[in-house]
This record gives sequence, structure tokens and C-alpha cells, in this order.
Amino acid sequence: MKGLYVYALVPAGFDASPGTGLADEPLRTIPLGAIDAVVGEMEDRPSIAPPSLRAHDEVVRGIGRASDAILPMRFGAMVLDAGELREGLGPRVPALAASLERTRGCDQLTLRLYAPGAGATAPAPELPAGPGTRWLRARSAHAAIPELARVREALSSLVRAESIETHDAPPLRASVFHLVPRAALGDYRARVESLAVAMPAARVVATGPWPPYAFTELE
Amino acid sequence: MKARRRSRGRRPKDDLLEQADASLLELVDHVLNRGVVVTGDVVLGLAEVDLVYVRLSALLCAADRILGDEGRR
Repeated sequence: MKGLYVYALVPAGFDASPGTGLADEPLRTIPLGAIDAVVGEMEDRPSIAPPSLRAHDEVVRGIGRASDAILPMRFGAMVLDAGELREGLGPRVPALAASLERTRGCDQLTLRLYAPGAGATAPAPELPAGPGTRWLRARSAHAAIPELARVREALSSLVRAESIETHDAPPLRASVFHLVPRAALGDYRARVESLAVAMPAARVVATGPWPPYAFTELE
Repeated sequence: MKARRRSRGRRPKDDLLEQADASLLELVDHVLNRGVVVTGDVVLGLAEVDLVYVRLSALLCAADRILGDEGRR
């Protein structure tokens, strides 16, 4: 079914016309107040396959090169028309605009932390999980991985925002997502290399720069 | 479109993971697992995507064990 494939959100006034999408379709924007959605008209939703995933990422990166701030959409976000997009995003536009502004001038770096030790403890089931409970659980999970504190301490002065996931799949202990100002990328990489020397029992694997895929959560 | 789901006959997640390498796993995690979602949109058969996530975690772990430095890009 024909529809609009949504690639990214950018600040209002973006010129998408030079770009093309997954199916070489021309890109255009749909205004949503303070932000624009960059879309392409497609005949059908793409399948989950490596070429499609790479193409999606390339299109998002191209938009990111032309816009100083960007919120990537998740792969496969497709709507029937502009009306459905406004209905689906409209109430969240103010919060999305704030998240978008946070990404200005930044790229995402992703760290996978491999270290000895047991996996993360499974959360207790069926307990209330309000913001305070989630914070306490996260703090407890982070404390169980001493290498994670060293990573955070070494890099905190270079990052604008941070997101952490702990994993129950040893030796993979945690994924750390950092929003890093582009001017600081060189220093960031140097500090990650220093971490590898400082923590011989652990491995810190960095990938990026990425578009800020992990910083689209609303605050 | 909202109610459309992929047919059950195809298993693209298997195609995807058979071709997996470390860089592809990273791509999958970023592109499929993150990003803004349009409320009301059904993303490509959510159950199968969840399976990709579960196996992705194990594969990221395996990539580190098996591929060593070559896998860490």
C-alpha cells in the first residue's frame, strides 16, 4: 500500500529536495510546527533485510549531514499520508522539538562494554515500576558493573547526554550511548583508547559516529 | 496500513542473521531497535522484530568471542 516513509525529524525550514530515499524516491518535508518530518513516497514498506537497513541508515546520515540537528525515525515507520503523520506525532511535537534541539551539533558514539562477571540480575517481576523504582533498579544494575563507572567517569566531560543499557548476556555487560559534540569526537576516541589500556580485563568496543538513534526518547 | 502485518511464510530475521557480522549487528541494533516511532504505526510485525533483538544480544556477545579484533569495528 502506497504511503509516506518517514526517515527523520529536523528543525522547521529544512530543504529536503536534494535528497533521495530508500527507493530513490525524492525526499520532501511535512511541516509539524517547530519541526519538519522528512519523508519519501513509497509503494510499499521495505522488508527487514541488510540492504534496506543500510539504505535507511545512509538516507538518515545524508539528512544529518545537511541538518545540524536530527532525530532519526525507527526503520519501517510508514504512514498513509500527512494527516496520519500529524495525528501520530502531533501531540508529541513540543517534546520531540526539545529532544531534537539536544542533538544539535552532536553525533552518537556507542560503546559495548565486555567484562568478566555474572550477567545483570533479572528484575523482580510484577513490582510497581514508577520513575523512582526504575531509577533505583538502574543504579543497582550499574553498580554491579564496576568497569561501567570507570567508563562513565572517563568520558562524562565530553558528552552532552548519556543512555545506558545493562545486559544479561555475559561477557557483554552494558551498552553505553553517548551524544558527543562533533568538536569533541577526537578527544572522545583518544579517551576510549586509554580506557582499553587502563582496563585490561575488560573490552570497550566503540562504534560511530552514528546519527543519534538512541536519543529520541522523550524526556 | 495500520493493521498490516507481514505474512508468516517469510522469515527475514533468519536471512538477516545468517549474514550477520559485527558491523551489521550494530546497524540492526541502531536502526531497528531505536529511533522515533509514529504512534499507531505497526512496525513490520513486532513479534519478529522482538526476536531479532533477543538474538542480537547473544550475537553481539558471540561476535566478541569469535571474531576478536577483526569483529570489533
